[in-house]
Amino acid sequence: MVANNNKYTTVIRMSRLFIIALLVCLSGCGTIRNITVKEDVKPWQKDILAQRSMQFPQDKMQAYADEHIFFSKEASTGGSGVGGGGCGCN
Amino acid sequence: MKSIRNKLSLATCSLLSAGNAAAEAIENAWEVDGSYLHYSEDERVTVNKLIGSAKGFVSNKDTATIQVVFDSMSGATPTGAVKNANPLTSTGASGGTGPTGGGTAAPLAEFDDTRVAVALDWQHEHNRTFNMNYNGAFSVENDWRSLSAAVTANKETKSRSTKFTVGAAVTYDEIWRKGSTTTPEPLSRVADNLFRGTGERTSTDLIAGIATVINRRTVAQFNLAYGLANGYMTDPYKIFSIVDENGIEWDQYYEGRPDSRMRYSITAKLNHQTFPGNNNIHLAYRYYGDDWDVKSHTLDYKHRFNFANSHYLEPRLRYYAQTKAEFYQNSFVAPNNPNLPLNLPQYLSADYRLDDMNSVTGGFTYGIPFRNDADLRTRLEYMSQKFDNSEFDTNKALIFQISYGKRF
Repeated sequence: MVANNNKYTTVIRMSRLFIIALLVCLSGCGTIRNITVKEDVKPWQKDILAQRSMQFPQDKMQAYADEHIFFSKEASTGGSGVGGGGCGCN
Repeated sequence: MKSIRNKLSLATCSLLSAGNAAAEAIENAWEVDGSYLHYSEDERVTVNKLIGSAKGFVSNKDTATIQVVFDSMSGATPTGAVKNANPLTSTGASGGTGPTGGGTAAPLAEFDDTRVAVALDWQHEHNRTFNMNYNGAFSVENDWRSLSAAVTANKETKSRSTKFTVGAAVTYDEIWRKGSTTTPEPLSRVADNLFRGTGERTSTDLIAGIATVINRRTVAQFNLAYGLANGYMTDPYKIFSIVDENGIEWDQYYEGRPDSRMRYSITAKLNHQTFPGNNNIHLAYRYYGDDWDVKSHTLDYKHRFNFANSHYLEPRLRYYAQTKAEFYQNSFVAPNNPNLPLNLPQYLSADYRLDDMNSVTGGFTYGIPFRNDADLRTRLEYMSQKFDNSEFDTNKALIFQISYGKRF
Protein backbone atom coordinates (compact mmCIF):
# COMPACT_ATOMS: atom_id res chain seq x y z
CA MET A 1 0.00 0.00 0.00
CA VAL A 2 2.89 2.32 0.86
CA ALA A 3 4.60 1.42 -2.40
CA ASN A 4 1.36 2.14 -4.25
CA ASN A 5 1.07 5.56 -2.61
CA ASN A 6 4.67 6.36 -3.52
CA LYS A 7 3.97 5.35 -7.07
CA TYR A 8 0.85 7.50 -7.14
CA THR A 9 2.82 10.47 -5.86
CA THR A 10 5.34 9.93 -8.65
CA VAL A 11 2.52 9.82 -11.18
CA ILE A 12 1.13 13.11 -9.89
CA ARG A 13 4.57 14.74 -9.87
CA MET A 14 5.32 13.68 -13.43
CA SER A 15 1.91 14.86 -14.61
CA ARG A 16 2.45 18.22 -12.89
CA LEU A 17 5.85 18.56 -14.55
CA PHE A 18 4.26 17.85 -17.92
CA ILE A 19 1.53 20.44 -17.33
CA ILE A 20 4.00 23.07 -16.10
CA ALA A 21 6.28 22.49 -19.09
CA LEU A 22 3.29 22.81 -21.39
CA LEU A 23 2.04 26.00 -19.71
CA VAL A 24 5.50 27.57 -19.85
CA CYS A 25 5.72 26.70 -23.53
CA LEU A 26 2.27 28.11 -24.29
CA SER A 27 2.65 31.24 -22.19
CA GLY A 28 5.97 31.90 -23.94
CA CYS A 29 4.09 32.58 -27.14
CA GLY A 30 1.28 34.51 -25.46
CA THR A 31 -1.19 31.74 -26.22
CA ILE A 32 -2.63 31.37 -22.71
CA ARG A 33 -4.27 34.80 -22.91
CA ASN A 34 -5.74 34.05 -26.34
CA ILE A 35 -7.19 30.79 -25.07
CA THR A 36 -8.72 32.04 -21.85
CA VAL A 37 -10.34 35.32 -22.92
CA LYS A 38 -14.06 34.66 -23.20
CA GLU A 39 -15.86 36.18 -26.20
CA ASP A 40 -19.41 36.21 -27.43
CA VAL A 41 -19.06 34.58 -30.86
CA LYS A 42 -21.71 35.42 -33.44
CA PRO A 43 -22.75 32.82 -36.02
CA TRP A 44 -20.93 34.64 -38.80
CA GLN A 45 -17.75 34.57 -36.71
CA LYS A 46 -17.60 30.77 -36.58
CA ASP A 47 -15.43 30.32 -39.65
CA ILE A 48 -12.46 29.08 -37.63
CA LEU A 49 -14.59 26.98 -35.27
CA ALA A 50 -16.21 25.28 -38.24
CA GLN A 51 -12.93 23.97 -39.56
CA ARG A 52 -12.37 20.25 -39.33
CA SER A 53 -9.26 20.79 -37.24
CA MET A 54 -11.41 22.40 -34.51
CA GLN A 55 -13.81 19.47 -34.12
CA PHE A 56 -13.81 16.73 -31.45
CA PRO A 57 -12.20 14.54 -32.69
CA GLN A 58 -10.22 16.12 -35.50
CA ASP A 59 -9.62 12.78 -37.23
CA LYS A 60 -12.13 10.01 -36.57
CA MET A 61 -9.96 7.31 -38.14
CA GLN A 62 -7.02 8.19 -35.93
CA ALA A 63 -9.21 8.50 -32.84
CA TYR A 64 -10.74 5.07 -33.46
CA ALA A 65 -7.33 3.44 -33.94
CA ASP A 66 -5.94 5.17 -30.85
CA GLU A 67 -8.85 3.96 -28.76
CA HIS A 68 -8.19 0.38 -29.80
CA ILE A 69 -4.42 0.58 -29.20
CA PHE A 70 -4.56 2.23 -25.80
CA PHE A 71 -7.55 0.16 -24.65
CA SER A 72 -5.50 -2.95 -25.44
CA LYS A 73 -2.27 -1.81 -23.79
CA GLU A 74 -3.43 0.17 -20.75
CA ALA A 75 -5.83 -0.51 -17.87
CA SER A 76 -7.80 2.72 -18.42
CA THR A 77 -10.36 3.44 -21.09
CA GLY A 78 -13.25 5.73 -21.99
CA GLY A 79 -13.99 9.39 -21.57
CA SER A 80 -14.67 10.40 -25.15
CA GLY A 81 -18.01 8.77 -25.85
CA VAL A 82 -20.15 5.68 -25.48
CA GLY A 83 -20.87 2.78 -27.81
CA GLY A 84 -18.74 0.58 -30.02
CA GLY A 85 -17.65 -3.02 -29.62
CA GLY A 86 -15.20 -4.66 -27.26
CA CYS A 87 -12.28 -6.93 -28.00
CA GLY A 88 -10.12 -9.54 -26.32
CA CYS A 89 -6.91 -7.86 -27.33
CA ASN A 90 -3.45 -8.84 -26.17
CA MET B 1 -15.95 26.40 -55.99
CA LYS B 2 -17.90 23.63 -54.37
CA SER B 3 -15.51 23.54 -51.47
CA ILE B 4 -15.77 27.31 -50.98
CA ARG B 5 -19.55 27.03 -50.80
CA ASN B 6 -19.16 24.27 -48.25
CA LYS B 7 -16.92 26.38 -46.11
CA LEU B 8 -19.26 29.35 -46.29
CA SER B 9 -22.27 27.29 -45.31
CA LEU B 10 -20.34 25.72 -42.48
CA ALA B 11 -19.01 29.05 -41.36
CA THR B 12 -22.43 30.58 -41.00
CA CYS B 13 -24.53 27.67 -39.89
CA SER B 14 -22.44 24.98 -38.34
CA LEU B 15 -22.48 24.02 -34.70
CA LEU B 16 -19.79 22.86 -32.35
CA SER B 17 -19.77 19.43 -33.80
CA ALA B 18 -19.25 18.55 -37.42
CA GLY B 19 -21.71 15.70 -36.95
CA ASN B 20 -24.66 18.02 -36.55
CA ALA B 21 -24.25 20.45 -39.36
CA ALA B 22 -27.35 20.30 -41.48
CA ALA B 23 -25.64 22.79 -43.72
CA GLU B 24 -23.23 20.07 -44.71
CA ALA B 25 -26.11 18.32 -46.41
CA ILE B 26 -26.30 21.12 -48.93
CA GLU B 27 -23.20 19.87 -50.65
CA ASN B 28 -21.63 17.03 -48.66
CA ALA B 29 -24.29 14.40 -49.08
CA TRP B 30 -21.77 11.63 -48.50
CA GLU B 31 -18.47 11.24 -46.75
CA VAL B 32 -16.26 8.19 -47.03
CA ASP B 33 -13.14 7.42 -45.04
CA GLY B 34 -10.70 4.56 -45.34
CA SER B 35 -7.73 3.83 -43.16
CA TYR B 36 -4.94 1.30 -42.78
CA LEU B 37 -3.10 0.89 -39.48
CA HIS B 38 0.06 -1.08 -38.85
CA TYR B 39 0.97 -1.59 -35.20
CA SER B 40 4.16 -3.46 -34.49
CA GLU B 41 5.72 -4.23 -31.12
CA ASP B 42 9.38 -5.02 -30.73
CA GLU B 43 9.48 -8.83 -31.24
CA ARG B 44 5.92 -9.22 -29.94
CA VAL B 45 2.46 -8.34 -31.25
CA THR B 46 1.72 -7.15 -34.80
CA VAL B 47 -1.68 -5.77 -35.78
CA ASN B 48 -2.91 -4.81 -39.23
CA LYS B 49 -6.19 -2.93 -39.18
CA LEU B 50 -8.45 -1.79 -42.00
CA ILE B 51 -11.22 0.71 -41.27
CA GLY B 52 -13.89 1.78 -43.75
CA SER B 53 -16.58 4.33 -42.99
CA ALA B 54 -19.39 5.86 -45.04
CA LYS B 55 -21.67 8.63 -43.83
CA GLY B 56 -24.67 9.87 -45.74
CA PHE B 57 -27.57 12.26 -45.31
CA VAL B 58 -30.57 10.04 -45.89
CA SER B 59 -32.94 12.97 -45.43
CA ASN B 60 -32.57 16.59 -44.42
CA LYS B 61 -33.00 15.46 -40.78
CA ASP B 62 -31.26 12.09 -40.74
CA THR B 63 -27.66 11.01 -41.07
CA ALA B 64 -26.57 7.39 -41.27
CA THR B 65 -23.03 6.09 -40.81
CA ILE B 66 -21.71 2.59 -41.28
CA GLN B 67 -18.23 1.57 -40.18
CA VAL B 68 -16.56 -1.74 -40.89
CA VAL B 69 -13.30 -2.80 -39.27
CA PHE B 70 -11.07 -5.76 -40.00
CA ASP B 71 -8.15 -6.62 -37.71
CA SER B 72 -5.46 -9.20 -38.17
CA MET B 73 -3.39 -9.82 -35.03
CA SER B 74 -0.43 -12.13 -34.54
CA GLY B 75 2.84 -12.50 -32.67
CA ALA B 76 3.76 -13.28 -29.13
CA THR B 77 2.38 -11.90 -25.88
CA PRO B 78 3.36 -12.44 -22.22
CA THR B 79 1.39 -15.19 -20.49
CA GLY B 80 1.99 -13.82 -17.00
CA ALA B 81 4.45 -16.55 -16.02
CA VAL B 82 7.92 -15.65 -14.78
CA LYS B 83 10.82 -16.08 -17.16
CA ASN B 84 11.86 -19.49 -15.88
CA ALA B 85 8.34 -20.83 -16.53
CA ASN B 86 7.98 -24.52 -17.22
CA PRO B 87 7.44 -24.93 -20.98
CA LEU B 88 5.12 -27.86 -20.42
CA THR B 89 2.52 -25.81 -18.62
CA SER B 90 2.54 -22.42 -20.36
CA THR B 91 -0.76 -21.58 -22.01
CA GLY B 92 -1.58 -19.71 -25.17
CA ALA B 93 -2.85 -16.19 -25.60
CA SER B 94 -5.98 -14.69 -27.13
CA GLY B 95 -6.42 -16.67 -30.31
CA GLY B 96 -3.46 -18.86 -29.44
CA THR B 97 -3.16 -22.58 -29.27
CA GLY B 98 0.00 -23.53 -27.48
CA PRO B 99 3.01 -22.66 -25.45
CA THR B 100 6.33 -21.20 -26.39
CA GLY B 101 9.13 -20.02 -24.18
CA GLY B 102 10.18 -21.87 -21.11
CA GLY B 103 13.54 -22.74 -19.68
CA THR B 104 15.49 -19.54 -19.31
CA ALA B 105 13.58 -17.88 -22.18
CA ALA B 106 10.78 -15.44 -21.64
CA PRO B 107 7.33 -17.04 -21.36
CA LEU B 108 5.68 -15.65 -24.43
CA ALA B 109 2.70 -17.31 -26.09
CA GLU B 110 2.25 -17.21 -29.85
CA PHE B 111 -1.20 -16.23 -31.09
CA ASP B 112 -3.00 -15.47 -34.29
CA ASP B 113 -6.44 -13.89 -34.36
CA THR B 114 -8.77 -11.92 -36.60
CA ARG B 115 -11.53 -9.52 -35.69
CA VAL B 116 -14.42 -8.13 -37.70
CA ALA B 117 -16.47 -5.26 -36.32
CA VAL B 118 -19.47 -3.46 -37.78
CA ALA B 119 -21.03 -0.32 -36.32
CA LEU B 120 -24.17 1.48 -37.45
CA ASP B 121 -24.95 4.99 -36.41
CA TRP B 122 -28.15 6.96 -36.98
CA GLN B 123 -28.53 10.60 -36.11
CA HIS B 124 -31.87 12.39 -36.19
CA GLU B 125 -32.21 16.14 -35.89
CA HIS B 126 -35.40 16.89 -33.97
CA ASN B 127 -34.99 20.62 -34.25
CA ARG B 128 -32.33 23.24 -34.84
CA THR B 129 -30.71 22.70 -31.43
CA PHE B 130 -31.56 19.12 -30.51
CA ASN B 131 -30.54 15.81 -32.02
CA MET B 132 -30.44 12.17 -31.00
CA ASN B 133 -27.86 9.61 -31.98
CA TYR B 134 -28.49 5.85 -32.03
CA ASN B 135 -25.61 3.40 -32.34
CA GLY B 136 -25.36 -0.36 -32.64
CA ALA B 137 -22.12 -2.32 -32.90
CA PHE B 138 -21.11 -5.94 -33.31
CA SER B 139 -17.66 -7.50 -33.27
CA VAL B 140 -16.44 -11.06 -33.40
CA GLU B 141 -13.07 -12.79 -32.96
CA ASN B 142 -12.01 -16.40 -32.66
CA ASP B 143 -12.49 -16.17 -28.89
CA TRP B 144 -14.70 -13.14 -28.30
CA ARG B 145 -18.12 -11.82 -29.34
CA SER B 146 -19.42 -8.38 -28.46
CA LEU B 147 -22.74 -6.66 -29.03
CA SER B 148 -23.51 -3.10 -27.99
CA ALA B 149 -26.19 -0.43 -28.29
CA ALA B 150 -25.91 3.24 -27.40
CA VAL B 151 -28.13 6.32 -27.32
CA THR B 152 -26.80 9.87 -27.13
CA ALA B 153 -28.74 13.14 -26.87
CA ASN B 154 -27.20 16.47 -27.89
CA LYS B 155 -28.81 19.75 -26.91
CA GLU B 156 -27.42 23.15 -27.86
CA THR B 157 -28.16 26.54 -26.42
CA LYS B 158 -30.10 29.05 -28.50
CA SER B 159 -26.90 30.80 -29.52
CA ARG B 160 -25.44 27.41 -30.45
CA SER B 161 -22.26 28.20 -28.59
CA THR B 162 -22.67 25.50 -25.95
CA LYS B 163 -23.69 21.89 -26.39
CA PHE B 164 -24.78 19.46 -23.68
CA THR B 165 -24.46 15.74 -24.27
CA VAL B 166 -25.75 12.76 -22.34
CA GLY B 167 -25.31 9.20 -23.49
CA ALA B 168 -25.78 5.61 -22.36
CA ALA B 169 -24.50 2.33 -23.77
CA VAL B 170 -25.03 -1.32 -22.95
CA THR B 171 -22.53 -3.95 -24.06
CA TYR B 172 -22.80 -7.73 -23.89
CA ASP B 173 -19.58 -9.74 -24.32
CA GLU B 174 -18.96 -13.46 -24.60
CA ILE B 175 -15.44 -14.80 -23.99
CA TRP B 176 -13.95 -18.24 -24.51
CA ARG B 177 -10.66 -19.90 -25.42
CA LYS B 178 -9.97 -20.42 -29.09
CA GLY B 179 -10.77 -23.94 -30.21
CA SER B 180 -13.28 -24.51 -27.41
CA THR B 181 -16.28 -22.85 -25.79
CA THR B 182 -14.79 -22.84 -22.32
CA THR B 183 -12.78 -20.69 -19.95
CA PRO B 184 -10.41 -21.92 -17.24
CA GLU B 185 -11.57 -22.05 -13.65
CA PRO B 186 -10.11 -18.85 -12.12
CA LEU B 187 -7.25 -19.48 -9.69
CA SER B 188 -7.11 -23.16 -10.58
CA ARG B 189 -3.88 -25.06 -11.15
CA VAL B 190 -2.97 -25.10 -14.86
CA ALA B 191 -1.99 -28.79 -14.72
CA ASP B 192 -5.42 -29.72 -13.32
CA ASN B 193 -7.20 -28.62 -16.54
CA LEU B 194 -10.31 -27.34 -14.82
CA PHE B 195 -12.60 -25.54 -17.23
CA ARG B 196 -16.07 -24.09 -17.14
CA GLY B 197 -18.43 -22.54 -19.68
CA THR B 198 -18.21 -19.45 -21.82
CA GLY B 199 -17.61 -16.24 -19.92
CA GLU B 200 -20.31 -13.57 -20.13
CA ARG B 201 -20.11 -9.92 -19.24
CA THR B 202 -22.59 -7.05 -19.30
CA SER B 203 -21.38 -3.45 -19.18
CA THR B 204 -23.26 -0.20 -18.83
CA ASP B 205 -21.57 3.09 -19.67
CA LEU B 206 -22.88 6.58 -19.06
CA ILE B 207 -21.43 9.88 -20.23
CA ALA B 208 -22.35 13.52 -19.65
CA GLY B 209 -20.51 16.27 -21.43
CA ILE B 210 -20.47 19.92 -22.29
CA ALA B 211 -18.72 21.55 -25.24
CA THR B 212 -18.49 25.30 -25.28
CA VAL B 213 -17.04 28.05 -27.43
CA ILE B 214 -14.57 30.13 -25.41
CA ASN B 215 -13.84 32.59 -28.20
CA ARG B 216 -13.47 32.74 -31.97
CA ARG B 217 -10.37 30.59 -31.82
CA THR B 218 -11.01 28.29 -28.89
CA VAL B 219 -13.46 25.53 -28.09
CA ALA B 220 -13.41 23.31 -24.99
CA GLN B 221 -15.07 20.04 -24.04
CA PHE B 222 -15.57 18.40 -20.64
CA ASN B 223 -16.85 14.86 -20.16
CA LEU B 224 -17.77 12.82 -17.11
CA ALA B 225 -17.94 9.10 -17.72
CA TYR B 226 -19.12 6.26 -15.52
CA GLY B 227 -19.10 2.56 -16.31
CA LEU B 228 -20.14 -0.58 -14.50
CA ALA B 229 -19.28 -4.05 -15.78
CA ASN B 230 -20.49 -7.32 -14.29
CA GLY B 231 -19.56 -10.87 -15.19
CA TYR B 232 -16.45 -12.57 -16.47
CA MET B 233 -13.59 -10.03 -16.24
CA THR B 234 -10.72 -12.53 -16.25
CA ASP B 235 -8.39 -13.14 -19.20
CA PRO B 236 -8.82 -16.84 -20.06
CA TYR B 237 -5.23 -17.13 -21.29
CA LYS B 238 -3.33 -15.40 -18.52
CA ILE B 239 -1.58 -17.35 -15.80
CA PHE B 240 0.75 -16.59 -12.91
CA SER B 241 3.69 -18.43 -11.41
CA ILE B 242 3.96 -19.85 -7.93
CA VAL B 243 7.56 -19.22 -6.93
CA ASP B 244 9.66 -20.17 -3.93
CA GLU B 245 11.46 -17.64 -1.73
CA ASN B 246 14.28 -17.53 -4.31
CA GLY B 247 11.88 -16.60 -7.12
CA ILE B 248 12.10 -20.00 -8.78
CA GLU B 249 8.82 -21.14 -10.25
CA TRP B 250 7.48 -24.47 -9.09
CA ASP B 251 3.87 -24.32 -10.31
CA GLN B 252 1.44 -22.27 -12.42
CA TYR B 253 -2.16 -21.17 -11.85
CA TYR B 254 -4.79 -19.45 -13.98
CA GLU B 255 -5.41 -15.86 -13.01
CA GLY B 256 -8.67 -14.69 -11.39
CA ARG B 257 -10.13 -11.16 -11.36
CA PRO B 258 -13.16 -9.66 -9.60
CA ASP B 259 -16.49 -10.21 -11.33
CA SER B 260 -17.33 -6.52 -11.42
CA ARG B 261 -15.58 -3.29 -12.23
CA MET B 262 -16.73 0.28 -11.67
CA ARG B 263 -14.90 2.90 -13.72
CA TYR B 264 -15.10 6.66 -13.85
CA SER B 265 -13.21 9.36 -15.71
CA ILE B 266 -13.05 13.11 -16.16
CA THR B 267 -11.87 14.32 -19.53
CA ALA B 268 -11.08 17.85 -20.67
CA LYS B 269 -10.20 18.78 -24.24
CA LEU B 270 -9.22 22.06 -25.78
CA ASN B 271 -8.87 23.05 -29.43
CA HIS B 272 -7.31 26.39 -30.23
CA GLN B 273 -6.11 28.15 -33.34
CA THR B 274 -3.16 30.41 -32.62
CA PHE B 275 -2.89 34.05 -33.62
CA PRO B 276 -0.76 34.95 -35.40
CA GLY B 277 0.28 31.82 -37.22
CA ASN B 278 -3.10 30.09 -37.50
CA ASN B 279 -1.66 26.85 -36.22
CA ASN B 280 -3.73 24.47 -34.09
CA ILE B 281 -3.29 23.35 -30.52
CA HIS B 282 -5.08 20.18 -29.44
CA LEU B 283 -4.78 19.46 -25.76
CA ALA B 284 -6.53 16.70 -23.83
CA TYR B 285 -6.32 15.50 -20.25
CA ARG B 286 -8.09 12.56 -18.62
CA TYR B 287 -8.19 11.42 -15.03
CA TYR B 288 -9.35 7.84 -14.64
CA GLY B 289 -10.12 5.71 -11.60
CA ASP B 290 -11.79 2.38 -10.88
CA ASP B 291 -12.59 0.12 -7.96
CA TRP B 292 -9.69 -2.16 -8.86
CA ASP B 293 -7.55 0.68 -7.52
CA VAL B 294 -6.23 1.65 -10.94
CA LYS B 295 -5.77 5.40 -11.22
CA SER B 296 -4.32 7.10 -14.24
CA HIS B 297 -3.45 10.42 -15.80
CA THR B 298 -3.37 10.92 -19.56
CA LEU B 299 -2.06 14.04 -21.28
CA ASP B 300 -2.23 14.31 -25.03
CA TYR B 301 -0.80 17.29 -26.88
CA LYS B 302 -0.86 17.86 -30.63
CA HIS B 303 0.42 20.97 -32.34
CA ARG B 304 -0.62 21.38 -35.95
CA PHE B 305 1.54 23.56 -38.19
CA ASN B 306 -0.57 24.69 -41.14
CA PHE B 307 1.47 25.50 -44.25
CA ALA B 308 0.62 27.95 -47.01
CA ASN B 309 -0.22 25.12 -49.44
CA SER B 310 -2.80 23.78 -46.91
CA HIS B 311 -0.62 20.81 -46.00
CA TYR B 312 -0.04 20.38 -42.29
CA LEU B 313 2.43 18.72 -39.97
CA GLU B 314 1.15 17.71 -36.55
CA PRO B 315 3.68 16.53 -33.94
CA ARG B 316 2.16 14.70 -31.00
CA LEU B 317 3.24 13.83 -27.49
CA ARG B 318 1.09 11.64 -25.25
CA TYR B 319 1.97 10.80 -21.67
CA TYR B 320 0.17 8.14 -19.65
CA ALA B 321 0.78 6.90 -16.12
CA GLN B 322 -1.23 4.39 -14.08
CA THR B 323 -1.10 2.75 -10.69
CA LYS B 324 -1.45 -1.01 -10.50
CA ALA B 325 -4.62 -2.94 -9.77
CA GLU B 326 -4.84 -3.98 -6.13
CA PHE B 327 -4.74 -7.69 -7.03
CA TYR B 328 -1.81 -7.42 -9.44
CA GLN B 329 1.25 -9.47 -8.52
CA ASN B 330 4.07 -10.53 -10.78
CA SER B 331 4.05 -13.95 -9.07
CA PHE B 332 2.87 -15.62 -5.87
CA VAL B 333 5.49 -16.61 -3.32
CA ALA B 334 4.97 -19.88 -1.42
CA PRO B 335 7.23 -22.63 -0.08
CA ASN B 336 7.82 -25.38 -2.61
CA ASN B 337 5.83 -27.98 -0.75
CA PRO B 338 2.65 -29.29 -2.44
CA ASN B 339 1.41 -30.59 0.90
CA LEU B 340 1.10 -27.11 2.36
CA PRO B 341 -1.99 -25.02 1.55
CA LEU B 342 -1.25 -22.15 -0.84
CA ASN B 343 -3.60 -19.59 0.74
CA LEU B 344 -4.03 -17.74 -2.53
CA PRO B 345 -5.74 -14.35 -2.33
CA GLN B 346 -9.31 -14.02 -3.62
CA TYR B 347 -8.08 -12.40 -6.84
CA LEU B 348 -4.70 -12.41 -8.52
CA SER B 349 -3.44 -11.44 -11.95
CA ALA B 350 0.07 -11.07 -13.37
CA ASP B 351 -1.18 -9.32 -16.54
CA TYR B 352 1.46 -6.64 -17.22
CA ARG B 353 -1.26 -4.18 -18.29
CA LEU B 354 -2.51 -4.05 -14.69
CA ASP B 355 0.94 -3.14 -13.32
CA ASP B 356 2.27 0.32 -12.37
CA MET B 357 3.00 1.83 -15.75
CA ASN B 358 4.41 4.87 -17.52
CA SER B 359 3.89 5.26 -21.23
CA VAL B 360 5.06 7.90 -23.70
CA THR B 361 3.86 8.07 -27.29
CA GLY B 362 5.41 10.55 -29.70
CA GLY B 363 5.31 11.10 -33.42
CA PHE B 364 3.68 13.18 -36.10
CA THR B 365 0.91 13.28 -38.69
CA TYR B 366 1.28 14.81 -42.12
CA GLY B 367 -1.91 15.90 -43.89
CA ILE B 368 -2.43 16.70 -47.55
CA PRO B 369 -5.77 18.12 -48.70
CA PHE B 370 -6.81 17.78 -52.33
CA ARG B 371 -8.91 20.10 -54.45
CA ASN B 372 -11.75 17.63 -54.87
CA ASP B 373 -12.72 17.75 -51.18
CA ALA B 374 -10.50 14.86 -50.26
CA ASP B 375 -7.52 14.53 -47.96
CA LEU B 376 -4.73 12.11 -47.12
CA ARG B 377 -3.30 11.79 -43.60
CA THR B 378 -0.23 9.78 -42.69
CA ARG B 379 1.04 9.31 -39.17
CA LEU B 380 4.06 7.67 -37.66
CA GLU B 381 4.38 7.27 -33.89
CA TYR B 382 6.46 5.39 -31.40
CA MET B 383 5.11 4.13 -28.08
CA SER B 384 7.34 3.25 -25.15
CA GLN B 385 5.85 1.63 -22.04
CA LYS B 386 7.64 0.92 -18.79
CA PHE B 387 6.34 -1.38 -16.06
CA ASP B 388 7.50 -1.44 -12.45
CA ASN B 389 7.00 -5.07 -11.47
CA SER B 390 6.26 -7.09 -14.59
CA GLU B 391 8.48 -9.82 -15.91
CA PHE B 392 8.69 -7.82 -19.13
CA ASP B 393 9.50 -4.35 -17.89
CA THR B 394 9.15 -2.59 -21.26
CA ASN B 395 7.00 -2.67 -24.36
CA LYS B 396 7.89 -0.64 -27.43
CA ALA B 397 5.73 -0.28 -30.51
CA LEU B 398 5.70 1.48 -33.85
CA ILE B 399 2.40 2.87 -35.09
CA PHE B 400 1.86 3.70 -38.75
CA GLN B 401 -1.49 4.82 -40.14
CA ILE B 402 -2.58 6.16 -43.49
CA SER B 403 -6.11 7.50 -44.00
CA TYR B 404 -7.97 8.89 -46.97
CA GLY B 405 -11.22 10.83 -46.77
CA LYS B 406 -13.51 12.10 -49.49
CA ARG B 407 -16.65 14.18 -49.32
CA PHE B 408 -19.15 14.12 -52.19
